[in-house]
Amino acid sequence: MLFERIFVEKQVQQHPQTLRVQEALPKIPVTYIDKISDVFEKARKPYLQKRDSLNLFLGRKEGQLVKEAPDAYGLSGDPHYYFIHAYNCIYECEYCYLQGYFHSPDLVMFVNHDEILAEMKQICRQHSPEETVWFHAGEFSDSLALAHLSGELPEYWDFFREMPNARMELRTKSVNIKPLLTLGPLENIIITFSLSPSAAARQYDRKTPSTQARLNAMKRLADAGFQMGIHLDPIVYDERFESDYQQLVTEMLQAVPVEQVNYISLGVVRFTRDVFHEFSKNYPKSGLLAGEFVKSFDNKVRYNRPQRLYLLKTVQRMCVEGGVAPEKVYLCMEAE
Amino acid sequence: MNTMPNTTARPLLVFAHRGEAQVFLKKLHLKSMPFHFDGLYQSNDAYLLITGEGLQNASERLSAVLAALRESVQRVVNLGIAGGLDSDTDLEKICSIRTVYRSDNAEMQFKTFTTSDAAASLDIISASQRILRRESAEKLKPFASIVDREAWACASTTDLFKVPFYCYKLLSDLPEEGTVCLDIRAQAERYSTLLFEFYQNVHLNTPHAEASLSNGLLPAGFYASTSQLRQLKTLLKHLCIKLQISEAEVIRRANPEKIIERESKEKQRTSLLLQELTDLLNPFNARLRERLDDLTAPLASAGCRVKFSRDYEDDEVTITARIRHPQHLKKLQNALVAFDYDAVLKVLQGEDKL
Repeated sequence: MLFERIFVEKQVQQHPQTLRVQEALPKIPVTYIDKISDVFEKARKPYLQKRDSLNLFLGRKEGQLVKEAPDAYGLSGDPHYYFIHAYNCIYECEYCYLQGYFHSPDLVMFVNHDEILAEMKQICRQHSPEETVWFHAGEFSDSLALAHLSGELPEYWDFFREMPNARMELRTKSVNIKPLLTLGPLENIIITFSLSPSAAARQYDRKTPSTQARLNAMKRLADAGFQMGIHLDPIVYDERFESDYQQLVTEMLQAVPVEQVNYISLGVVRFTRDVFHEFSKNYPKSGLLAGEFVKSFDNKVRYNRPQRLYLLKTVQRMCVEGGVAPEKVYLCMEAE
Repeated sequence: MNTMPNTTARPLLVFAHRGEAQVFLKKLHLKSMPFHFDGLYQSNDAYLLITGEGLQNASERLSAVLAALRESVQRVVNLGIAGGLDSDTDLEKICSIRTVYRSDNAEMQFKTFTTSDAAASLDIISASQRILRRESAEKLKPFASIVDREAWACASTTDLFKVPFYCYKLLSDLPEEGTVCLDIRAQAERYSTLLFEFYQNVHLNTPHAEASLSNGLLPAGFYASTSQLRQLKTLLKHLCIKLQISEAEVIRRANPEKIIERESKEKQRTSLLLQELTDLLNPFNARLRERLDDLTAPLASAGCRVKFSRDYEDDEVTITARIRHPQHLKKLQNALVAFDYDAVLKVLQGEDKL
């Protein structure tokens, strides 16, 4: 069973999303709590316990719901924001920053999407109608992996249908595309997939759909007319790097016609110091540990600059040679 | 008082009460050991400590014992009885504990510890007070299904001393079940027998700590300082993962015989060996360094020192030259003309296909 227990905040006990989740998971015991923070992160729960005792929390997100994205987050020139609809992920990618971010691997789903959308509306009003305002989902959780369970996507579709100057990115590694196909494409909703060469995904992206399965899902969405984006992130160096990425770029551009690719972001594997510490502890035999990392300009642990730039520029060249307009390929979180 | 450790490392078994330990004391032929306080026993196969009940007792006594006996303690095993928090708790079942939580006056503490048993799947909360009422148990239930009084202190202390920690608890009762201490005491011998049988089974199946790397892996003719050894250990670990071969095979791939031919000083040889291993681990950086050496060769041959920024994080190249004779200046001028900074930039900016 995916979850060991569901914790529900009493204030959202009767919320439609809460009821929907409970109905979908009838055999999982439910505990009602006053606040998510009474249990979640109250005591440190080891990350790898997500493998056999993952809890699900349902509650209301408080505080700022939509936040300004850091520099080098999306296509430059436009204002970028990200919104928080969930914490943590059902997948287990070895390099994932979530392992050092929260003190618990338990999944939290927030149900107050109406408030998130109201905040988005407010932000859109602060920008001129000529500006394209981006809202990114998936900062702290996969945007689609549990969308069939949480069921909030129709609310977002309704909102973005009415807000032509706003764009939303749903970022995923899942192949859970049925809810999207049911809703149909919208010009200002971009579905983006994170991809790695097959061998790297097999090695580092634990419990995720294979690269081939993701490419197949991308093709189905592209065929249905969805706007697409691609994250080639994190790029990991090994001796087969060039041939593996050449193959991946070729395959992804076969799956999604170039004209439907809104952007491709490129990023090289990187860790904050805390995440690197957690990662080394959680995966002491990971092949990633064999990389020669340095403490970089922003205190992140990553390859040295010539290696990073070589990786990024090589993949960038492959994308452009594949027909993607150079301005659609951007380097994520890399100062240049 | 003799607290000098016996040379053979052995497990240290930790109990709160003598009743829980009684069968171990008998069957393992443990004899009282002179120490700063009562409750420490030893035999050729194990140490045993009785701490008394509660977090503070366990913490104080185990700290004192580990401070004295650390080198001869192979692992710490906390055994004893514990309470179940769920009404469906399987009483008299013995559980291997995974994560240890702590609660002080019903307030959860943030810090937790995980035992060395990778197969364990149950968590425990060590409470500062006895959990006798259902309401108190309800507050703890979101975090774990078992409650005791000492495990967290044992886990915390062993973490401090970097000793592997295991924890096995027999579930004796539930809150509000009407069980009183006297009932538990009456069962003590039986519980101790069950724990002993369980322990014997587990003990025989617990692998001993991995052999740690020593200077012994270095071929004859090499000497490593402590920091070199540490670096060697890290490199070997990563290369074993990367190449899927043994440490000895990794060393062989670094061609130590050739290093001995090139260098006469033992410590310098180790530096070269470490460099070979580093290059083996990251061929990209080896090629990068080689390429930059080639490109700066004209400057080096003119006697200049060439330095790049740390980890090549920017395009800066620092060239230091000393001129004592007009010929030096001429040489430097020629070297600067021959020095191709554009080519260096291409390498630093990832545009050179290394």
